[in-house]
Amino acid sequence: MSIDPALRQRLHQLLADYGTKVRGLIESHGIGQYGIDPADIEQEVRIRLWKALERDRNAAFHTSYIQRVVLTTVIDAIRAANARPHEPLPESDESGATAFIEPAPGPERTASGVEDFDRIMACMAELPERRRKAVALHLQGFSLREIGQFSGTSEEAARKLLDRGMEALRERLAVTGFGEVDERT
Amino acid sequence: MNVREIANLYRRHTRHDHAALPEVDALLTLADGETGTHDERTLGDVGRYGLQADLLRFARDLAPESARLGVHLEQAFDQRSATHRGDRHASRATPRRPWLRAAGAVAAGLIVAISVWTSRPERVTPQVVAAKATTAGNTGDRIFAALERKGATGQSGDRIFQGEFAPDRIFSSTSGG
Repeated sequence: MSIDPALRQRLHQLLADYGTKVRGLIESHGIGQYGIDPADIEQEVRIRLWKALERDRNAAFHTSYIQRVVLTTVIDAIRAANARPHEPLPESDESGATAFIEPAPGPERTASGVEDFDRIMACMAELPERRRKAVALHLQGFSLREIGQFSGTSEEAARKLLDRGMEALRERLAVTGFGEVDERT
Repeated sequence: MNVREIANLYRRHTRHDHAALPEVDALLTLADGETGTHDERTLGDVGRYGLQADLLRFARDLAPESARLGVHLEQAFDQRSATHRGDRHASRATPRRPWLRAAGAVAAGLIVAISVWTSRPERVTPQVVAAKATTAGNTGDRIFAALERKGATGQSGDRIFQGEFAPDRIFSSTSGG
């Protein structure tokens, strides 16, 4: 498909604006922590969408198509990052100066943090599946509305599932010596 | 420990624990709020793995921006097409030389008239051909034949030619007065 210069410039501008927004979303959602560079994703998304426009411009107008291009780009980048061998940490120099200042280990970074996590996982595994999923999604930070939407139920039904699931989890954790879980969030 | 601390602990430990990366379509189905056949497994993975939860949140927040881009792209193409159409209409509607246009119209009219004249249907049947063949020799000039018939029969023919040519009244009255 031939694209005249004026239209080409306009399309490049639109894709550039969109790429900037994608980059912002990647950064705000902490996706960068999975070993990807948001700037690389921004660039790659622009290239892929431009190719899609040249190939079949009608397809590129659909929201789901654009989302798929971005998500595929992100997941491909994460996969590539996982496949890369990790660079070894630099060793201390001969003067004995410490290269890194280790942050003080908080309660979640200690061995007890791992133990606590394992205990939580063990207790969650005993929950009925639907309640377990509702609890897991809640702990991942999703709202009741989102949990209901993902589960194909109403927000009220999701709330009941979550309440019962959290209650059962607290009881089980108490039995395992985890201590009392405050209901406050 | 309260629920928030438990949630933080859970997220921290599930963040880098991803056995498999999610399927894009399944994630988009969940993000759209649609229920599919493999949603249960994907939903379980979203709850279990921090990466998948983050990607699902990312996909949900990406939807409005993606929809906006789609609309803007379509508008850009539509506007460009409309501009092109406008240019073509304008070039067709505005004659460059009016006299050339008039001459063209006259020429076109002449061509149409000639073509209509030459394409008049002429019914040629065998009877017509035979009649022409028999009368061709003895009819002669029809105008003079008619004059001869008139003289022979005394019948009134064309009133105009048969009318008596009265003298010009204007001149007769002036000459008579």
